Amino acid sequence: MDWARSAVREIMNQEQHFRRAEKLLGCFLPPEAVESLAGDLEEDMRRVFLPKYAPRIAVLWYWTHIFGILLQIIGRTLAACLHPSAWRNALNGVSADLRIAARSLRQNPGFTSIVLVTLALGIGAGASIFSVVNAVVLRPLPFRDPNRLTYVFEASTPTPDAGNVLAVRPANYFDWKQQNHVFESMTAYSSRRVALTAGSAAEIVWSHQVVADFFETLGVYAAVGRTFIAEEYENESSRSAILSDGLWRRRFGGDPHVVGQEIVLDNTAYKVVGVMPPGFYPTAYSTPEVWMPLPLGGRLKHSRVDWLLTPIARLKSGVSLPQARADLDLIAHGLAGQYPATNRNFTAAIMPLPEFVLGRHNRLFVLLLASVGILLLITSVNVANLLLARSAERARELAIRGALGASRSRLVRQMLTESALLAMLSASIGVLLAYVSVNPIRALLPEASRIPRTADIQVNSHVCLFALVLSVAMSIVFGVAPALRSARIGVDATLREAGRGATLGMRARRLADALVAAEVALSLTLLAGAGMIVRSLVNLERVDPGFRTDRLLTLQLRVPSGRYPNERAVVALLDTVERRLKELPGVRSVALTAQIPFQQIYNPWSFIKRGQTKDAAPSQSAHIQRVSPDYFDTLGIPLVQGRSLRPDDVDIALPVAVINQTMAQRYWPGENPIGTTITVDLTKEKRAVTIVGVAGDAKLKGVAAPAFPEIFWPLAQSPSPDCYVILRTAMADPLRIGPAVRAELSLIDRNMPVLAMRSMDQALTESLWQPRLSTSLLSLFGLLALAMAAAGLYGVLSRAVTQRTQELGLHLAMGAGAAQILRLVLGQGLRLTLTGIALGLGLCVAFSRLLANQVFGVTTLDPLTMVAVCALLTIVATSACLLPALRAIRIDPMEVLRNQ
Amino acid sequence: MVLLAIARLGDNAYGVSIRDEIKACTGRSVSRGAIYVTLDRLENRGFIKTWLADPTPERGGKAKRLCRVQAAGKRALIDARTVLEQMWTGLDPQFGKS
Repeated sequence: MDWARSAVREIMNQEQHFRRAEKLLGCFLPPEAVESLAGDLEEDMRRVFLPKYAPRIAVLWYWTHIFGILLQIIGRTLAACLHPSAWRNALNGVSADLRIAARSLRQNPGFTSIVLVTLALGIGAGASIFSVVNAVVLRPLPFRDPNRLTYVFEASTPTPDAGNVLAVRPANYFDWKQQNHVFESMTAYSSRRVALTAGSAAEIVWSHQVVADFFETLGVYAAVGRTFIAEEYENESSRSAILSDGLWRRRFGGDPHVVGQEIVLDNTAYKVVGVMPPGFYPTAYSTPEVWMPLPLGGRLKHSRVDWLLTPIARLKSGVSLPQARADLDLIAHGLAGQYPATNRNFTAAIMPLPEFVLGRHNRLFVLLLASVGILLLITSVNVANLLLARSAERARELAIRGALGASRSRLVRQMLTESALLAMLSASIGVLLAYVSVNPIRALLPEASRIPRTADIQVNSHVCLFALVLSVAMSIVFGVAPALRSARIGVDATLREAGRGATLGMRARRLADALVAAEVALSLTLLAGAGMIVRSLVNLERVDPGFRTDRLLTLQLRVPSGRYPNERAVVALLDTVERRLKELPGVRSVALTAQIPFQQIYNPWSFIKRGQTKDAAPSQSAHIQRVSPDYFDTLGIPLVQGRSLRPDDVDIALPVAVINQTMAQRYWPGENPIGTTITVDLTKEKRAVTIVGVAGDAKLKGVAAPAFPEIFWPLAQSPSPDCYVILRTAMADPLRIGPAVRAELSLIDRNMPVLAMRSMDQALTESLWQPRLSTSLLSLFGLLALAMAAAGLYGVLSRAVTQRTQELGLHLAMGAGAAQILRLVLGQGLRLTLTGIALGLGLCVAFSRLLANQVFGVTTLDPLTMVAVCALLTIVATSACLLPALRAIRIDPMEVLRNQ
Repeated sequence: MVLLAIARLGDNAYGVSIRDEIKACTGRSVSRGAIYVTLDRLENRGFIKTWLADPTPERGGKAKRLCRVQAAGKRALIDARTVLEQMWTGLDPQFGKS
């Protein structure tokens, strides 16, 4: 009996092989061809091989021939596709499919509109975010081989954070340039704002003063005229200038004869020698519009105290970043040994230029891309569900077409064409939506964001191509399942069910349920992220900045250097400005400062107390604020100890300063710092100051920034040609006094440009640009996702009620109450919702990683937010399920029984 | 060769028998893939007609795809033979036949 059992087992195994082979052939051939081919092979195997060889050998022979046949079919298909007549036939087929698809969509305007709107919103959102990422990050920088370019800074470690780097001193720059083995060229620039006067109008622009080899190192040359020649770098009296493309078009109307014309920069005449190409170039902090040569001769060349230069270097071919870092670190160590007074504790920090310029906001862009990706997934899932339902409604039509000779592949192609047509139409609408959203998005990225190239955000050919690719991908994602399902529709069963309306098979129903649960899960993720960001923004807006931001007007002044050649002249001018503005009606007090609140770049300076040595106190540092005496009164910063600065402090032999509470508590815990003298190491000099007061902490860097030790000393002791004026006004809208302020400043000196006039409240709002941007976009995406999830749930429940009409009617006929029916229907909806929520909680854990560093005052999985979002989803889902549930309880049981 | 084999086999021409007939007459083995591709081409040109016959147990209950030569196929065979005979005329001495 063993042989019989073994024989039966072998036969059963062979049957499995035959079935598998038929399934495989069925993917490539029509059913009749599969049957005859498989039958021929089986006949040969039984007749020729099984009598002579072991069954396993026969099975091996069988599969060898199956694969051989498949290869021949594929080869023949490829050859046919490459034939010109094949292309003609394909085109004819495609145009026929498109005509049928268009007619079908026209005949169902309700369905078509819902799908178009859903897809257009998703594609529009995707295209909008892509337009930002494309303009800011993806476009290559306008240099030759930008990945070989690096910034070189001074820092305390070779790999510091981007915020802890320092400019480079000229002597160090020349030593690194001479001694390194890793750079094929090295250059540098120094940036500052200049007052540009060309014609009658004056404006403040960023300028870069550049040293020799600047344009050659970057590998970019002038589009009009030329770049600087060697003599211009060496000659200190050189007065050549190069303009940016934007400035040339804005101030000179793109005049091709601009070379040789004169412009005035800070009251000094320069001759234009060239214009750079468009887009040249963004940097981490400013976009220059004018370039001048920086002759580094005389004292400056040997200076190790002027923190002046930002070097850019091009790596030699084959040299890696770690090798370059090691080489410069070695040189820096040598210099520290040679010049301990100036170079001890400093080394060289090399940062890839593209990463430094473009990579600082990567986390934000990744968050936005992930969010819009989730929205696109939800959109695809929603549309897939709609198409699945539609395929059920069209089952009869498709069955008849199949009976009339349409092949399975033809039906699949037809359904996919319809999906593709929907996707293309939606892509067009989506691109329009993206176009409309460009300006609002740009408004969410103010200059304070320091995101480069925001002016270039637009809907261009790249964005349109992205929308097209996205629509094709989405049409595959949401179109495949319904298309394959339509191909499997059996004629007999479908036509027999003609009287029962549209139904989905069990598998398709489960797929629809799974899709809706997935929608709910993804919506929860987006809503939770939006909730965290919203709470974060609310927390930020509630932070007390430590001073009163209302009724404050701010503006920036640029002291024309040619007319005020020394510090005394600048101080006298600033005194006049302060005095005359204070006399204006509606102005309560005026303050001057070198850095405006909410836009400050912090540079900590080390200090020691009297009696301490530097070695004993290596980690004492503070940020320096240069302010006028009325600064604390004007801003409303309280004095908690001692006194404020006074106008006559400038005349005292020993300079004085006020410190903030954080500095007092950190470095004088439990002690009184008033009367203490500290010496601040400014590298160029060491300044001893006596502490006369302690002010309350103010969030001058930004409301999200932690408190930092700060020293306030008189602006008059080291005046800056760029300074800010802050006016405490009597008006609720301080901008109303703006014209009077401009007029008064013009009377003082009509060549003194005034810019960036705005209220302190506006400055505070702009400083919160990042959470505002995240909040706006994530909230919008979250609400869209919620609406789609609700629509998806409604659709599934509605179909379920239709399919269960008989069952529910029987329940009602047997005495079930409305409450019981409601429980049945709502129960199904809630089960789907809760399944989705459970899945979504898992997704939230992954998504929360993207929220790290984007939230303030709340954890990335804040329980309160999660509970609120789950509750919101459940309420909305229940509301979406109510309509189908109410329809269910209105079923007429008598009608159902009659139709049985 | 495939068309000739179908003509020789009459009403019993299908994939397996066509292959066996060609092997028996010419001694050559032809791949199954080549035969099926050729059958498709012959049918597309109208030289043969195919239909599915009843399934048999030795084929696991699967039907055969039987073929029959049509009038166009017969004409094509006759034309091909005529052309061959015309091309062979006068070549016998070259190939050692008188």
